[in-house]
Amino acid sequence: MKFISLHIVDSLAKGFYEFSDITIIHSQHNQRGKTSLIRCLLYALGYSIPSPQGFNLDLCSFTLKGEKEDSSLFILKREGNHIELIEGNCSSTFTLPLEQDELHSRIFGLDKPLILINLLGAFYFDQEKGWTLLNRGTVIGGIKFRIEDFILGFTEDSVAEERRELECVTREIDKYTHLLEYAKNLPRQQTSDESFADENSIEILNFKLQELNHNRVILENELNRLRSVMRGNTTFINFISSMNLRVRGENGTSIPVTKDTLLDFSFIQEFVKEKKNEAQRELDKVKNSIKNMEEALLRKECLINLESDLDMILEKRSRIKIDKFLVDNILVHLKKRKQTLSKKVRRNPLEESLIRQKLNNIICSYLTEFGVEAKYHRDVLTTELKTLSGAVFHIMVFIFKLAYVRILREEVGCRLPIVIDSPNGREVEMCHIEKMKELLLRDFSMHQIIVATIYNPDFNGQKMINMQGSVTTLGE
Amino acid sequence: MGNTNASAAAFGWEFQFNAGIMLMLDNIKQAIEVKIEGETEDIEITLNDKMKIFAQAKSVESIEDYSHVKDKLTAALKTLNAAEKTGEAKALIYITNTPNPCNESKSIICFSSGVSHIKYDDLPEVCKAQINAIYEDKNLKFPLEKFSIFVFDFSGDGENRYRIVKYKISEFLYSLDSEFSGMVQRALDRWRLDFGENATQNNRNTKISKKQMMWPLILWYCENKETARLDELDSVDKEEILKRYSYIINTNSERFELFTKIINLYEDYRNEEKHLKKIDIDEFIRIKCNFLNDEFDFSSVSDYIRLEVLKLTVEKVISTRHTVNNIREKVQL
Repeated sequence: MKFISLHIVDSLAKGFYEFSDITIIHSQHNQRGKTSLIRCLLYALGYSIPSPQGFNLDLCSFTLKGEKEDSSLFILKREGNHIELIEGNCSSTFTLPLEQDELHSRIFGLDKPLILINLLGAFYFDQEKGWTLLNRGTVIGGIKFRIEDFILGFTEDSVAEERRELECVTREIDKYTHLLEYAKNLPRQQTSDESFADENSIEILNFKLQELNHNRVILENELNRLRSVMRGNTTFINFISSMNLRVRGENGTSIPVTKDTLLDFSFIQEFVKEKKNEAQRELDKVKNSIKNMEEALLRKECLINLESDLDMILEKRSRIKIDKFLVDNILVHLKKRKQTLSKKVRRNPLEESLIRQKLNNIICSYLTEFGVEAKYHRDVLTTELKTLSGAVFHIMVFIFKLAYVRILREEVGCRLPIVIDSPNGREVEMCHIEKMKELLLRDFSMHQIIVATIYNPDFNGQKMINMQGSVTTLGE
Repeated sequence: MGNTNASAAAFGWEFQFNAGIMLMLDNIKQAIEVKIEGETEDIEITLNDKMKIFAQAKSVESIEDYSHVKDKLTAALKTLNAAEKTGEAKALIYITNTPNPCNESKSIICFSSGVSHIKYDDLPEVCKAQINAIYEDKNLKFPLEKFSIFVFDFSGDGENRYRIVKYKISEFLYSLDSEFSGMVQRALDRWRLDFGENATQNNRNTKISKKQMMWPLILWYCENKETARLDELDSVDKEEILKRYSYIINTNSERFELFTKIINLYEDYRNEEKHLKKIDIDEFIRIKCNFLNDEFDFSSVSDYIRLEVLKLTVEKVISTRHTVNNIREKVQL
């Protein structure tokens, strides 16, 4: 793929740039818009590039003309999240960043998703992050590069679905594990329901209390009634007794009329008394229940009357009941799923090692060319970066990236443009710069090369774009 | 260790007061009151004639565990011996839930029928031999003819435990009046509470009189009868009567003057109408109860309601009288 031209329009100004096989974006001094231009270029290509200082990419419209691998031309028109791809008479629109991969697969002629998402990291050297990205890390903004995925991208990925699911499941496991951790740290909760100061349960308690009080009143009334009956009876019997009546019994005996001799009196009095006792017993029970309920309500209402917002938050937090049992179960299930998926997704060691081997060969030969001692040579999957000095590391980054570009060309026939922003950083020796230039010209002459620098690398046939101050200028 | 002791003690107490209930029901006619003392495992029932029934309650948590039955028997016999010395003992009972009270496996069959109360003379020979041996060994003196062993099943969890106690209660209630049968659970719950179900370890002493046991039954019975009677009415009338006339009906049926008047009139009416198999309440009210109209203020009420209120009052009086008398007689209250 090659960039042909870029047209930028923002609210106030425009800019137009043309690119050739070797293009140098140059300015005498720093801060003249070189990096911004490169970023515009990549943004126009559909990447989610963060806006440079003082310039909001989302508010501009870009028109990028380019050439695909098969030499056919294409035009990209981007405004914010909408991008239009025009190929011959065909026009299709894509929404970014969702459909970015689809777009790029059309432009680059690649259909391997793992390579597509790692493409930018392969050909673009960002001024800030590009020179520290060896085989894993951030390219720019939120765009990452991962060597494992890159290599994997070359092999048939029949387990893409499972791989994606595995990622999801792993994330879920993380989430739930965190949830459990959180649950462990919750303040200890009492076992009784009463500790939850729920407005609802206060309502319920109040209702129950009303009921109880209603019963209490009924029982109290009944008790009073029975007492008055007893009093009435006692009064009556006292009255009769006070009359000192006597009745004649059998055999001529005379029987005084008293409460003991008056038939049924003791009967009825005892009956009423027992009834009264029962009512009292019931009343005591109800009063007890009322007392308990009032205490419970008071406790709950205290919980509700919180002093501050913080208390409210803490209190709400303490109410969150995390069902540990449920979460544990979910975790068990997820972990099992992860195991199954992992088995399926297990990398194909043979094919991978082939690509890896090829990459290592390229890297090794280039490193030797640059005079880097063997002890500093690293495998493409290396994580051992600490022992490398700044300059050696700088060279390594350069070589690794070139290796990626080369393998893409050799394995899938994709020729990427090489976009380098400020290769001269980090105290790189001039001889190394020369070497880099030599390498590019020798092995990568079929790739478009775009370099932004304050120096003049003086390539043969290079086109210079001189940046004066900003990407767009007024009045053009 | 402490925990098992506590739960064993709790079980022991639970058995003991249920044994008290069993013994009371067994002796309800002659009994006046029952005293239960947790610490000494005593049950003491005072009778009409001032004599007492002394019982020793020993329980096992697992009825297949015979390891301590002999010790329990020995301890019980010793204590009963001491009780005899009071001179008030009419009967000396060893009450337990193990089907093997004498540690003689051959005898288990005799004690396995849910409830068995066997006097000394009727015990199997092997049991007698055991008892005699202890008697001799510990130099006991009480008259063996007063002694009996009472075994009832009290085992298992939850409500299962109360299987036999409920059976006994059910039998008892039925003997009072067939309509009492529905009250078994209610009676059990009430007696469990009264007898000290909730007593804490230091509080395990109870004294319950026959009156205390029986009156709730009487009251519930009257209540039930009334409810049943009200159910016969039209729901609209029932509501009105309950709302406006409960007070009147209740009070009037409890006032001595009215009560005695209605009862006596009823007795007179019954005597007069001896030939009638069944007394017609409506007829009775019509003929004899005109006075009642003066007692109530029926000015603004329909005839139907008026009649119902009268009827309910009279019925209440008669039924109360009948029930109380009936039970009193049956249990000698």
